[in-house]
Amino acid sequence: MELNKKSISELKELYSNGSVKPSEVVRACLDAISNKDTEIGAFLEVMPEDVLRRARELEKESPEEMPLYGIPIAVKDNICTIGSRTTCASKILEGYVPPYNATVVERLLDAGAIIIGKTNMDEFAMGSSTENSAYQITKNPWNMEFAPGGSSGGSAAAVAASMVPVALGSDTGGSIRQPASLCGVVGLKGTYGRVSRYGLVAFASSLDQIGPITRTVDDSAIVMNVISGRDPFDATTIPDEPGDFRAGLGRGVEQLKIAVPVDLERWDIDAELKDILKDTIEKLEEAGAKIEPVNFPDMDASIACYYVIANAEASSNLARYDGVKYAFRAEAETLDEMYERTRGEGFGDEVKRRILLGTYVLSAGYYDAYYNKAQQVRAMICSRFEAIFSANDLVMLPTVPGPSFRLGERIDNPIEMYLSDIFTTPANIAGIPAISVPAGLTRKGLPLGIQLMAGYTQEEKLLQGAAMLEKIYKFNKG
Amino acid sequence: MNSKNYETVIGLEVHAQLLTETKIFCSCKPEFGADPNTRVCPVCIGLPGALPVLNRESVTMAIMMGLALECDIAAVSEFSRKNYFYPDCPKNYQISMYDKPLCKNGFVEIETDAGPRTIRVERIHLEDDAGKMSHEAGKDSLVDFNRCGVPLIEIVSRPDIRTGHEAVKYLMRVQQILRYLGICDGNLEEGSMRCDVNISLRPAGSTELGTKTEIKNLNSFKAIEKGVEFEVERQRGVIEEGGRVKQVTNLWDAGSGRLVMMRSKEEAHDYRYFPEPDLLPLEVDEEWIAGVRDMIPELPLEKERRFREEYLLSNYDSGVLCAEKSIADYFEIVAESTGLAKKSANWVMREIMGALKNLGCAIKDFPVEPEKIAGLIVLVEDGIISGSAGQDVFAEMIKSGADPKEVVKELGLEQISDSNELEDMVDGIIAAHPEEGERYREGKKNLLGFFVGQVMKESRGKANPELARNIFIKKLGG
Amino acid sequence: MLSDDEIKHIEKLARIRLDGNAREKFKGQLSDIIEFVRTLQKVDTTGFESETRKTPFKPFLREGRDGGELERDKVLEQAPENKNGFFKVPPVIDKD
Ligand SMILES: [Mg+2]
Ligand SMILES: [Zn+2]
Repeated sequence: MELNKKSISELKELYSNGSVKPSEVVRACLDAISNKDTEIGAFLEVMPEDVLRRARELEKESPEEMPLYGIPIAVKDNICTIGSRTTCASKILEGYVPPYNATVVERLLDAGAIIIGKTNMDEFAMGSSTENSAYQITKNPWNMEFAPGGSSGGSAAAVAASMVPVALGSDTGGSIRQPASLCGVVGLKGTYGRVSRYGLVAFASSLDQIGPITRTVDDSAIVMNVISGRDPFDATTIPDEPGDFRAGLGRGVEQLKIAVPVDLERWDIDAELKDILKDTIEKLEEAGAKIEPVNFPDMDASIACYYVIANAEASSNLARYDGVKYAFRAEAETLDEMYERTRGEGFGDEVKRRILLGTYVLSAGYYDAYYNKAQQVRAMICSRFEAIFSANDLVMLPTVPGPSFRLGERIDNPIEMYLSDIFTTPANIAGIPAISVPAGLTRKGLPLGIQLMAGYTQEEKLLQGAAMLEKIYKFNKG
Repeated sequence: MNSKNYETVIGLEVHAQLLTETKIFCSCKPEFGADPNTRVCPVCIGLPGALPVLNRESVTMAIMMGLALECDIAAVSEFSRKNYFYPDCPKNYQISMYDKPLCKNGFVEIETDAGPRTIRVERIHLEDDAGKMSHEAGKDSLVDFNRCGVPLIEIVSRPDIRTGHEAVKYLMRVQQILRYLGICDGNLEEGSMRCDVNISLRPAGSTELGTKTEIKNLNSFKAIEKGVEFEVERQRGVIEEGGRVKQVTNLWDAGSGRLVMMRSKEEAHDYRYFPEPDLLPLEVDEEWIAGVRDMIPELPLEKERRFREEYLLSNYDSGVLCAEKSIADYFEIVAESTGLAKKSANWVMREIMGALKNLGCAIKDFPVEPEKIAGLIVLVEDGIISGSAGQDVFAEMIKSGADPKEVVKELGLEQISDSNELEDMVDGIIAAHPEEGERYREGKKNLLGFFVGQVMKESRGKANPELARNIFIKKLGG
Repeated sequence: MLSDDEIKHIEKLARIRLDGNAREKFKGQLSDIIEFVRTLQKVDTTGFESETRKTPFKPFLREGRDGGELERDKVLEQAPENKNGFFKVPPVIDKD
């Protein structure tokens, strides 16, 4: 029956009619991991015994009361899990075991999910290829010579390779949507504040959001229903209770206004992807949507804005890794030497680059020209999006300008790597929800993704649109 | 302290620990003297992924101090991160208010030897306290994080203070108000209230500020007065020798009674302040402020004024009685039940405060209730017991806490005020001392004291001396 | 281009020590990145000067009192070095 390939909604069906048990599903996932993951390298840690014990415990409970009953889930390694290592794929957190669970982890466990392991990532979520892991390289399941994207590359690869039906990622500038696009799965980042960040190891506090990576849009909504909502441990969570994210899935797109860029030519977008985009526009119109060509004048500024704000916050958030309280410490005679050597040896190059950049833009004499200016640009981008969403329901863009790239191809060119986030960072800057939906394969067999964005707290509409895209592309493939 | 050529300019930064039930950003309960690292949680120890959530009570207390010092309370204030590396600061940034403090533009009125002065207060802001370090010279240092995250208010004065004496008066007033409000126990020695002093000299008549130096570690009023004197003399020496004052931080060494210069750093601090992204701006509405205003008790200056007007006490007496709110409250109960304000004031200032000093206890732990002291005063004033018997009764009451009337009865101290009984006694004494009687009648009127003494001796102090004196005058004639 | 003194100053502030070769590489890369983010300065942000953070909802404050203290052993066991219930660090004052 290949239980590891089932979606959450299929598994829920199987559980409620009693035809499978959690331990069978978990076993299928563990088998898939042991068959495939030596090559793919999606997981940093899998705990087979704990996982099977938990599955058997769940078998004493009723599936009806738990929305994620018996659903195996992989968690990105920057999300704290009691008793199992949480390293952010960094040497500086080598062996670190948190004494508390992230709020999302608590919610998943309460909902009956089974956390199966921790996934690889770019160190501290800084990167777009998962090559910045201190521990291992993760490969794209569609082609082992290609990158899975990042920073949630382990999570995306695990779902794409059917090792789990769902994985959590975190998205600061596209780190869920970009690998989802490159691995041909669904990746959603909710409105900023929709999902608690408590227990998510911070990269950039004003941008970070945890979200699901799944194989279907419906699964994405199911997981969001569990992990969303106000958390008394995170003062930036939205106080209103979210509605049912599945509510709009079957509604179609009739009467929806979808904004698309007037001049796609401005950007260096892969030709096959451009064709898909044009085709999608036609299909959406056939389905009753209204397509509105819109100007996105600030897309280029948004990426510079993103790099200033994200790294300024990161330089401060990552100051705590100093060798005093946990994990790695370099040998040293004096305190300052300990700080400088611990951080010099414990962080990888990309993280060091970003901390240094963030330190620079906040330092005396540069604050106004960089950080403060970036905040003004951010305010401007927010208001531009407000204007767009006052006239439109959704925005449609590519997720990434093209398909995956070869491992090692971009690692020495940070700016080129940054530019691949051009379509994803605006949603983080503006705090609005966005989703990447798999749109098919290139002729060479690499996945492409299309992105939708919606206005502040409009996840229901976002998922409504995403469900239609999913339908369009399934039809395409079939 | 001002030389004729220079004016001393002093500004004070006072840090006061707030007596909130929990820490400022987490639910840990602070406890002075607890075992090291037992009052810590993921938030205050800065574990990866933990987030701060602001404690409402700490804001209420800060507003209370702001209102007590006549500050404007900001409708919107903001926390920032102050970035610096030190092992007592687990996140390596302090969460503090920077350019948008909660309270601004207040003042403190002080009484100095040279008359009343008004010291302006620039701002009061909230921040989290650091942990505590212990160092052994040349050896490893140890860190205790219990104090991390205890809420502090920082009260920053304008440079309006001119002498060490004024600095102490200012600090005493601030301490007094904090204690009146019940928001800080104001203990300099234990560090629940800490004071940094900024000092500069300028030519008399000049309005420009000279280069300032800072003194830290001043943990008593005496240290502050001495430290200021010391630094003023040092700076004057430097200037008079044609040198320039350098911007340094000095530590007060209580042991030697001297200032020790901290190694001056080659690089100035660059704290890279930026708005704390984990907390949203703090909004305080009129309703909240009004509620806090209702919580503020009568403050020292008002109380002193009322004592002068209502009880007709001198400036001095009202100042002494109002120094501590609990003493003032005690006095008021005594005064109200006796109806004798001045007598009650004398009793409280001499006997009660003397006894507190001897016992080394605070008024709240004093064994005799104010109502009983009032009873004692009335017994003396009504002539039931003599003044000296009153002292004996007071001493007994401190020991047993008993009612004064019972003590008087038990010790048999009731004064003999019965004329018949006294007349018999007087007759006997006159009969026994005919020679003295003769000399009295010849004009040696001061022998009256001798006769009264005899009756006191015979009655073992119980005779009412006033009454006895009048009987003698009547009986001896002349 | 960042000067040697500038990059050393940033290293000092960030408490990250780069060795000679790494410093050269980083200096070039950081200079490029700074050049790239400098494009921000060309953006006309007139009218967006004032407030940096608008909140769409009223922030909430903590009222609850449930203590979340951790057991000391759990806290200290993660530390590279501890002694008598304290975290232990190398001497703060330079040894020279
Ligand atoms: Mg301070
Ligand atoms: Zn705590």
